[in-house]
Amino acid sequence: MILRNLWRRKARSLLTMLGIGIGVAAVIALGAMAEGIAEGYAAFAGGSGADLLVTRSDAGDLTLSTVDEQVGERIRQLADVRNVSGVIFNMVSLESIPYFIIGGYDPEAVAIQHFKIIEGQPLAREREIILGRQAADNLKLSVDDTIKLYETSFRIVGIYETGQSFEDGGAIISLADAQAIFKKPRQVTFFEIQVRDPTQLDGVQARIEQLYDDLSVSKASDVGDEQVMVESMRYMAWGIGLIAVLIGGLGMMITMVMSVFEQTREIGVLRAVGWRKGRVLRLIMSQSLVLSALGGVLGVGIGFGLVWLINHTPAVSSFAPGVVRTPLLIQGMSVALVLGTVAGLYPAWRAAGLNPIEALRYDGGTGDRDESSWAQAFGMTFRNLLRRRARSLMTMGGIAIGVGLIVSLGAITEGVIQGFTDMTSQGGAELIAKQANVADMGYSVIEERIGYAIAAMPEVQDVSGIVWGFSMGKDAPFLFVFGMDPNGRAIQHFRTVEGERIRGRGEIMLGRAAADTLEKKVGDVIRLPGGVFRVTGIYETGVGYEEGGGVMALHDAQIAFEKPRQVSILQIKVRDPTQVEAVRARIEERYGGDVSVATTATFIEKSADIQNTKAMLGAVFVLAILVGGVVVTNTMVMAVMERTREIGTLRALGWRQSRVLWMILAESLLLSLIAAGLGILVGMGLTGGLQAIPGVGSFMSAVYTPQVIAQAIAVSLFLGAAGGLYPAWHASRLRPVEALRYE
Amino acid sequence: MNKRPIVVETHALIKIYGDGAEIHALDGVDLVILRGEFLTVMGPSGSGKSTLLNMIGALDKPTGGQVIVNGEDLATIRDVDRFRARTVGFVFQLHNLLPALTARENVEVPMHGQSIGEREMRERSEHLLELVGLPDRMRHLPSQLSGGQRQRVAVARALANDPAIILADEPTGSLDTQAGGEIVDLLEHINRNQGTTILIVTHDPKVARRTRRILTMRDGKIADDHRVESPVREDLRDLARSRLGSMLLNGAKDQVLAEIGLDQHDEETAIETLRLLLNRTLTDQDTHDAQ
Repeated sequence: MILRNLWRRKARSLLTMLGIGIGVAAVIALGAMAEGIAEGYAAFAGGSGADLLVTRSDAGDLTLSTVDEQVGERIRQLADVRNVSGVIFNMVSLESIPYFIIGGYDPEAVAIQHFKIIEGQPLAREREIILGRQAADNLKLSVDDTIKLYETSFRIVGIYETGQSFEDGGAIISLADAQAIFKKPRQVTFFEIQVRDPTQLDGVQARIEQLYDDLSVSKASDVGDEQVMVESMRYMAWGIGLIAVLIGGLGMMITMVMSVFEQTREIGVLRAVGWRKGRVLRLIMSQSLVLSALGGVLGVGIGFGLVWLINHTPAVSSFAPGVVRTPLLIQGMSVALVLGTVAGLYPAWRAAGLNPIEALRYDGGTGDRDESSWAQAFGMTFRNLLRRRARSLMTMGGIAIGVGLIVSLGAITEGVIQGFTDMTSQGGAELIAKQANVADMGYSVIEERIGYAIAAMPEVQDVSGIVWGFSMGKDAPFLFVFGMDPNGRAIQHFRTVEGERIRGRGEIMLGRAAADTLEKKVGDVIRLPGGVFRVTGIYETGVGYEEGGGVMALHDAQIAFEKPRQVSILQIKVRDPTQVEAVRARIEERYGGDVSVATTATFIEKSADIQNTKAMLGAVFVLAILVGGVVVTNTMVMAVMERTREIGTLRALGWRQSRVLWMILAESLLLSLIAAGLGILVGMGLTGGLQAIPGVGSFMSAVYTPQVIAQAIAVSLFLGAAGGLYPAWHASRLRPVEALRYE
Repeated sequence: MNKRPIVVETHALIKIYGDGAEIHALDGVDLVILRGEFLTVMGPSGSGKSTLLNMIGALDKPTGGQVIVNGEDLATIRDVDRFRARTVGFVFQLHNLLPALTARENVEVPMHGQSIGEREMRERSEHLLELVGLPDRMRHLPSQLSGGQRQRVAVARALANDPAIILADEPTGSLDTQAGGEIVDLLEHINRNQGTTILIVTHDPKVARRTRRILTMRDGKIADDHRVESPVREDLRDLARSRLGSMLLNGAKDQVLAEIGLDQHDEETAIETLRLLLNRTLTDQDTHDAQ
């Protein structure tokens, strides 16, 4: 009976299942990617049989960790340590692969044996590289070809395979080369340690931690899970999945409410022949659960499809290969079932509470009830939506959540772009230079001498080198730190409202928001990587990023972030503002191998970070459109179905097909347009909520550009048009005689 | 009588439903309906009544044969929608009003897309609602009207574009006897005063007896087609048989006038005289009944 009821409304059941399915698929695909990154990190860190891993404790992400080579020497002398290998682990940006993983190993080290050569030779000397099987395929390169990383050419001597897609999508070079190209002289990303006796693991761990309080020692198997990147990926998986599920859930609830409406008379009969309330409740609940379970299964299927797709897209799979594990499937299915329960509860309760006499008298419910007279002030389209208030509201809610998300993320992205642009153009600089081909701005490293050389160019008035870094110290869980020359031009931009500017080493001034979050006043001290700093002043600049961070002397920042004689970016002020483009071209011509230069206005837009954020935004777009489209279609299909006779009447009275088509389409469009307005409010509320989170809010200045709003409305209207098209077409194609006979 | 123009004409009309087990809903129907006729189609369920109605209204296409409405062959008609809007008017068993629209807006529905101005639309719909006796219900929604009132709105809607024929499929089917009777009164009134041709499909012999021609269908064929005598004509026949009638027929007009105490010789007042005569008779009757 349950299945037959669902079968009776095939289109609707299918659409509902699809709505849930897409949500579940999103949870699975994103979860699988997070899992892939976690396993990849763990494999890289511990694949070669390492027991312990030594990283910098405040690094945030494995790739940002730097440990001095001397530390390795010291650890090697400890009792119970059998083996220590220093490893560089980082990424470069290749043309087709934004995040290409590079490992730097000593060719003599034990750890490198983990990468089994299946073709060619093992890595023996500098300027040689071995590629993972997957990477070789993706880049269409083979043994004896060459590959360029940061202006350095490497000869491919071998192809390896480990069975880990994360590793097989990357490449290995010698440690010395890696230190050179990633500008980490005498440093490594982490040390892999093998102990002589596994029972001594905890002892060795404790001893190293005792020796170096700024290093963290973890068991190799835990590394993947400890990564901030993996964490945030998992949160994102859940976040986006949750949104999709929420929209899908609303669609589900609409379906179940509709189904109860439709079955009102049947429910009346069931109650009249002696069915108890509980039994009616169970009937509706079962329908809901069966539907959601089927949707869940569908979602798992789509999820697998997406993961397959991810693993066949080199740009993604080399960094975040999808790995589906049973717990993830269980998560996906439970999401679907919870949804079914929640969405079924209200309709079931409603059905059980029906008065049998009234239910029997129910006339199909095409809205023959009193309408408020104010509704007559509006057109027919609006009144038709009003007839099914609950359903229209739920549909609008679904669209509004998607649109809200787009507005919120779009505004935050715009805020980031604007914030960074303001930040990089501090003091009127026209050009910004960052390291060429860098995968992420956080990795950008430029030698100071290049800054001096650029400053010596006659067209250039001034060059300020700035070090950027995130501090993850004990005093400040998340602080954006700028290192600047205390006497330079760039620092003039930071106007202190309390105390004074920094004059030299050992001092820091904080942004207003940072000072409030950290509860620091002028004269207090703050413990950060690289030492203890005295707060000399509080500044306000109006830029969220700046006010959420702190400024210290360039030298301090170079030490704190292990960038000796290096900076993150260069701010360049040219003498003749009309010659900006020419100067940009000349700098790139001369130093193109080391830096890429952009105007301050386009720098951020062009950076890989923003490109990636925008790609994510695109994914949310697609998801919102898919799920939202399904919900709108579902609603409009129902609207057409229950009004079949009405449409038949209109056709009998001489309305043209095109007129009927437009009537349904107009309803769908109006619905989505109202939803767009609602969604923009939801988005603003969402952003407001996020900004209210202490510590996070200071970084997020949302900017609602006309484009963001236009985008939201466009997405909404697209949803309305796409979702309304099929039902409208269907309605216009109804044959009047049959439509009139429809019950 | 045959000088009146033909509104509907069917020739060997055939409609077959289904592929395997074919149902011959219409099996060679020849029919002529003249302008101003008020007729019913009766017959058991499945005899083809509604199918015939749908064919005439261009809601469905025949398998064979020909339907000509207002001189146009429906098989060759280019714009079926326009035909439905302009040439025919439907009244259904269930009123099928749009629940979101007011009574007046419902009447205007067939006028949409027929290049009729906003103002004219309003004037016409208001006029039609007055015609069906609902001048004070213009802004009411269907849910605020009684069943009979809703059907009146449906009749007004059918008249929206002054159609050549009104096709009413069981218009009293979902109404109680009194409301049903009122709808037939209304249709009769429209037929007599507007001259609109009206075809009613019904089960109800009481409704059929009110019209002047009854078609009876059986198994897709017209089994019987007879004209009902006009009630007035029957009354005249009764009058002719009465003593007054024989006095009038025998040319004894003076005698009649003398008998009731009048002496006017003007022939033009004869009818008026007759009216007075009948009035007096009724008054006498009432007085008699009261006693």
